[in-house]
Amino acid sequence: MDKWVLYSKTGNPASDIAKAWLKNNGIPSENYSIFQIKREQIDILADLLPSGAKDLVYPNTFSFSMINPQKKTEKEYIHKIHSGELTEEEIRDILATFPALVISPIITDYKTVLVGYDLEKMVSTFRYVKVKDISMA
Amino acid sequence: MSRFDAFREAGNPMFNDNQLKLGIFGPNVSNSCSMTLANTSFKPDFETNVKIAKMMEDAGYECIVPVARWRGFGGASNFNGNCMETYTWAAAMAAVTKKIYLFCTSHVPTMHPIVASKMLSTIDEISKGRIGLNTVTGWFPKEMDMFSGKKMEHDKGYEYATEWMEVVLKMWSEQFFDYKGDFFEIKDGWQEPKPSQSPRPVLISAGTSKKGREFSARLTDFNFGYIESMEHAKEWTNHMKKLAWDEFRREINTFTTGFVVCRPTEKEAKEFYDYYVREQGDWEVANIICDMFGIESSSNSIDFLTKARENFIGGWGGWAFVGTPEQVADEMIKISKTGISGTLVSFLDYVEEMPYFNENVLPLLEQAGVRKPVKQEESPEEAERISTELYSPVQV
Amino acid sequence: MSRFDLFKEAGNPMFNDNQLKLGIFGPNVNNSCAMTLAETSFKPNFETNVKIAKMMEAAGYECIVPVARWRGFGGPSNFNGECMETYTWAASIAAVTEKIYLFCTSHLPTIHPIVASKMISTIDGISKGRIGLNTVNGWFPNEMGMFSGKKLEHDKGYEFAAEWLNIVLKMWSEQFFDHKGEFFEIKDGWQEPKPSQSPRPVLINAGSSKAGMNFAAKYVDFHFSFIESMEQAREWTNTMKKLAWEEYKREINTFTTSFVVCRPTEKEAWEYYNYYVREKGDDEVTDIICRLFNIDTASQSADFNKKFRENFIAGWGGYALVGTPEQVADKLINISKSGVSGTLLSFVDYLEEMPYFNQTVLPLLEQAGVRKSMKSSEKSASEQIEAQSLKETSEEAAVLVSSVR
Repeated sequence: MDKWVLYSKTGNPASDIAKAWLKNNGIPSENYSIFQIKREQIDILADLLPSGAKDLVYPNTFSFSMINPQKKTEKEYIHKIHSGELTEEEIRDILATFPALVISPIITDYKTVLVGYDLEKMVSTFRYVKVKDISMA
Repeated sequence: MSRFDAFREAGNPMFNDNQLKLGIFGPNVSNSCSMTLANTSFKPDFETNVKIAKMMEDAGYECIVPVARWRGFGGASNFNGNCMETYTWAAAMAAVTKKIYLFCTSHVPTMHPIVASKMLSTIDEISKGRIGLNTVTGWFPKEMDMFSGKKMEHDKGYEYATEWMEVVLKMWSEQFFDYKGDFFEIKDGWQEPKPSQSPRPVLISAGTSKKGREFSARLTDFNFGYIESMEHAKEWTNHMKKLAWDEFRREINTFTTGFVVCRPTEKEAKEFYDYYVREQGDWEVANIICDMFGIESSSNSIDFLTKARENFIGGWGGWAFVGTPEQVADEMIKISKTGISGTLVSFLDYVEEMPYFNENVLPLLEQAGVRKPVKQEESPEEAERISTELYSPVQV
Repeated sequence: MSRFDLFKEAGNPMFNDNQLKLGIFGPNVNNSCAMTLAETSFKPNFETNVKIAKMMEAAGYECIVPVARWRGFGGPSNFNGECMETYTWAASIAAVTEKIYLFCTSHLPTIHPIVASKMISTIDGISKGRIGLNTVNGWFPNEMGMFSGKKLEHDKGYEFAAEWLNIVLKMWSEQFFDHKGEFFEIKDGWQEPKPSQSPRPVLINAGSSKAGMNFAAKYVDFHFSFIESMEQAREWTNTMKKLAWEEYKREINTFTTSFVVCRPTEKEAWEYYNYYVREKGDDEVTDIICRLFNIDTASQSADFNKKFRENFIAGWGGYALVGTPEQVADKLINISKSGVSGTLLSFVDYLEEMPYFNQTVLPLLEQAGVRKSMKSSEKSASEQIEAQSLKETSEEAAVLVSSVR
């Protein structure tokens, strides 16, 4: 059986839609707030992405502020992260400290990771998904 | 005696004295008829369905028509994806209800007509004659593809459905028959018991194309369709009756469907409509469905398109009964005057919203004479017998 | 955890603590299992089936297995001709029962696996996890001929069955899958809800050929068959368990079927047996069925034939439980000792005869320790429910906590 995890943010429409999509398409997932994400998980997820941890982060301050209008401190890091002046390790540390920087939703089984709500990617990712263990042995 | 007289004589609810018959549509599928992510307590499970059915029996509704669905339409709601299969749904509902007429909705390509006829005969016995059949040819490609059946060309679909239906009718009325058609070959067909109801289970279908209407006129008792206006409703009903009579010397009735948002004030009703349709509507799935129906054609105005989408989201394209009890009742009375036999209704949240409708709209329909008040005809002994023998252990 | 452990953990009645499980066979078909013209109040209708099921629940029986039949076998009784279709039968019985495990018996060639899996998932929802599946290939030509489906060659029949069942299992456990086999092609298979029971609905099968036994060993949880003697029962059970383990590394149980004529005295029991089997037996349908099974009456001893035929008339070839409550109980205890997990029973007249059996034989089985008394199992059931609701509450709480965190 495949175990899927959804990291989402309350009040974020993309998160709500992703959550609804998973539920209504019959794919059980453990749901966590993005603020529960730990360094350990960030490491696994970043290793799965082509450009590492950077790919987990909102692409610009504008898109970040749209969703997190209150988060002034975090906002400053967006540019830094994408400018290339930080090492991968530093970025991961920052994300562990300020999980709000991570795009919501994140859907993963820690082997594949979907960043943000992307219907086409969801559809292709969940081909042959095993949702129930019926122990055929 | 005509077929319709035979139904009436047998006391079939679909042919009772109520000029405007009422039923509900799709309590067995997730979201029922509303393509929305709005909050609702509604669940397409047995417990909820039993609650709804009992409420309907108390209020004197005529029927329940389930939706047959093998997968959702997509979108975040995956509209209608989570659902109860309709034959087993009907069998279970039949076991715990007493008066309401139930339908199986059946995609004819998914099932052999002998199996379907046998299942219906079994449900007929369980329900003591309260089961009908709604035939669907299967128009949602992703669903039919799952069965590795290619979607049949439209006309062929109805030829197939006609043969399918002929086999079912033979299983219900003949013994030891052979049948050889383009799609089926039956050797020495036999079945026992046959449906107990007279003359047979009620047949309905919702085809709107020329072929679909012909199929309906030739074989069924009710043609189901959406209405765009009262004039359209009248025209459609007349057309169907004329078609059935001219071509096949048969009677036929029409039946439509609508969705209800009934609140003490018009403002509240509209606000709720805004919430679940405009704010929380699953536009993605509405687009998928409008595309499938070819509604996206350039010949339609933007206004028309928006309204069509809203109606889909509001209640599967049904008539909008949005407003105060008086407003809703007025619309229903108007529908009845067009010659249509009745309407299915859908609610976003049946268990929450139906009681208000039953308490406030039904009396107005009775005052207007389009429905009779419910009689409590059952003897107390009979009620006692049924509840102790059959229904007591159901924990709902 | 093994598949059987999962069933046990889920509290599945087919895996409860009773060493000898009891069910009934064919209350949905006319004459049930008795090929006779003897008088009976039994009718294969809903009302009778509900009464029987309630009586069984009150007495603690484990299951009901219906017979799937599309036409009668012929003869003056037209044995099993009038009947309730099994999926709709199960759905309706599920709606009015609480504890008993139900099976759908399904002729695989007559129904698409997506339809079957969806119907079973629906009944699972209605019954809260009390539905299993009995797969049948269809061996009665008059019946299968009606569907214009030619009867598949025997081994092909099991290849078809294996593919059919694999699709059902996928529908119950995967989303968005494709399947391309010899008999079916599924594009983007998807279904919701899946059966709620863990690990999945119980699967049973009664194939007695080599191909049939292999199919059972590979896929199902209980292999059903007729027994001739206790030695044969033991041998069969050992063979099946060995086959399943050695070939497929799986556990499997066996289950048999019997007919009951239980009366206060042995004389009364045999008198009734004489009446319904020897006097009123439907010989014509028995001939038809013996021919169908290729029972070559010439090559067998007259005694064997007589016994064989009589067993068919008396209860579809099941094991004879004829005698006083003590005698019947002894035979049942012996069956249990052979390693067979349980037996289905049939009566000529369930409503008339079952109460006596329940009152007199069941207590003897409890005394012998092969079944738990209803009182104690009832209690443990209610305790389980309580424990379950506690568990649910704590799970809800856990969900809440995690969403708050």
